[in-house]
Amino acid sequence: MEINEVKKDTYNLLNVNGRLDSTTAPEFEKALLNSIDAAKENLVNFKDLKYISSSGLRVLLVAAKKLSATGKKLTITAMQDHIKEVFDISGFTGLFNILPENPYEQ
Amino acid sequence: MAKLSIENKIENLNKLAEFIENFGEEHELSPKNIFELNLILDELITNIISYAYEDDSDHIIELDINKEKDELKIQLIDDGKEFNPLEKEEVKLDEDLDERKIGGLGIHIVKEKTDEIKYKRESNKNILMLKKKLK
Repeated sequence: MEINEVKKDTYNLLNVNGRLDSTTAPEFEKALLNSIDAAKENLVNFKDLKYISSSGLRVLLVAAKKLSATGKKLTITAMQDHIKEVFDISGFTGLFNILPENPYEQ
Repeated sequence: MAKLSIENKIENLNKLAEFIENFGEEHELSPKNIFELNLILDELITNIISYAYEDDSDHIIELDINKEKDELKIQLIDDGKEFNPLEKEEVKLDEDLDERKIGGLGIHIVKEKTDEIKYKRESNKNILMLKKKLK
């Protein structure tokens, strides 16, 4: 897994590549909890994510709960179909703001 | 039939992923089937490594996968404490973010992505038998 963080005035975005499982979830958790900022829009871009297990979903849920205390939703962008299906069967789709593309794609 | 022995260390999930890639290639499974097979076994083996052992010793988890026509038959054996995933309480999927529980999703995903799960406890081992239809 590789994480690349983009910080702008109005949003923070994490690009997450590769595999998000129980071996990489702790690193993702650290990066995501560090990155989220209640004063901005918060996005996780999964365009190049190949794999996710419940360990990765767990981290997203922790971050979403933290944000929801401030009335905001975490945005997940550009998920591949097989990743999106894991979101759907886990009942995660309504808990996040899900976008088919990263709106800040360069 | 393909066999893998996995030591109870979380970094060995990488070996599992590699093993499933090879199995998938050999049996010409679709990328979706390979992904789902990896996901099912990752969830189960992560659970075993994280919760099954109460000592610090090394333990071996035994995995067998068999492809029969359009179906995979999987057997997973561990010598950890008794745990029947079928008896685990179902996660509530319709709760709001605030009420939503953090745990329990792994077993839910396994149930969703398999067609049959059987569990037995025999000679101090957990034996899980799964069937997954290839679509």
